[in-house]
Amino acid sequence: MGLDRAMNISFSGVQAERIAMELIASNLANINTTRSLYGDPYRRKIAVLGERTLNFADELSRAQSKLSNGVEVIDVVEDMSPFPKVYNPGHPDADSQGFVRLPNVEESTEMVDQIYTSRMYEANITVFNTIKKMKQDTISAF
Amino acid sequence: MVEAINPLNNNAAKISELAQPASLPNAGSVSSSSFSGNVFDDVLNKAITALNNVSQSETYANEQIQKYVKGEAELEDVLLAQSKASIMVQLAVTTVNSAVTSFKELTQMQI
Repeated sequence: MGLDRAMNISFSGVQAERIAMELIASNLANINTTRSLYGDPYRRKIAVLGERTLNFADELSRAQSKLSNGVEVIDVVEDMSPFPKVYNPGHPDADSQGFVRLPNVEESTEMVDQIYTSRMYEANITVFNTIKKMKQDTISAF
Repeated sequence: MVEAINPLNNNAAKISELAQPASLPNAGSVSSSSFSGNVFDDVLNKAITALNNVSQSETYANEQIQKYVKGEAELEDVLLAQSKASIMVQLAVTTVNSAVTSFKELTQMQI
């Protein structure tokens, strides 16, 4: 059913934006984390979005109808840009010359991403509500 | 080799026997068995079957709400399940209502 599929697609968008928001929350919360699991400072995490793949039957019908199954977070990658260094010899993670490596998270970038993600979430919910309204319109036409 | 295959065949037969009762009486049997030739009866029977299916989706929506309360499901899972259930209810109710309205119109026909 077309509208059901559309509903599932906008739902997948909502899910993807939720994960993106989770990563932004994690980035901002770890903005001062100098010691992560591997010893390095925290690296900024980014969600990589891709077209959602489902089971074989759904994929086959998608290939035949050239339609989409929605979006999903395929991978979470780490931003490999260098860590900024700050001179702070009193810090427990300072190196022999007194420099501390801080996470490569920029507050301004995260704030912009946050606004964008929340707007995208809103857009997907709006699509969802529009589809719901279309379904209700069809029912009330009986 | 043949002796080795035979037990397998026996097992396969047993498995297919076991699989037989597993096929549950499905929801469609209600309307197909009670085909009476009366159109309104059939429409209403089918609507009742549909309502049973609707109650399944409502149960699912309810499960999602309980899962959300326990922290096992996300809010949007609840939204999706609840929206689908509500639309299914609306469709089922509209179908029943329109069947009843048609029936009433026929009974009130001037003879």
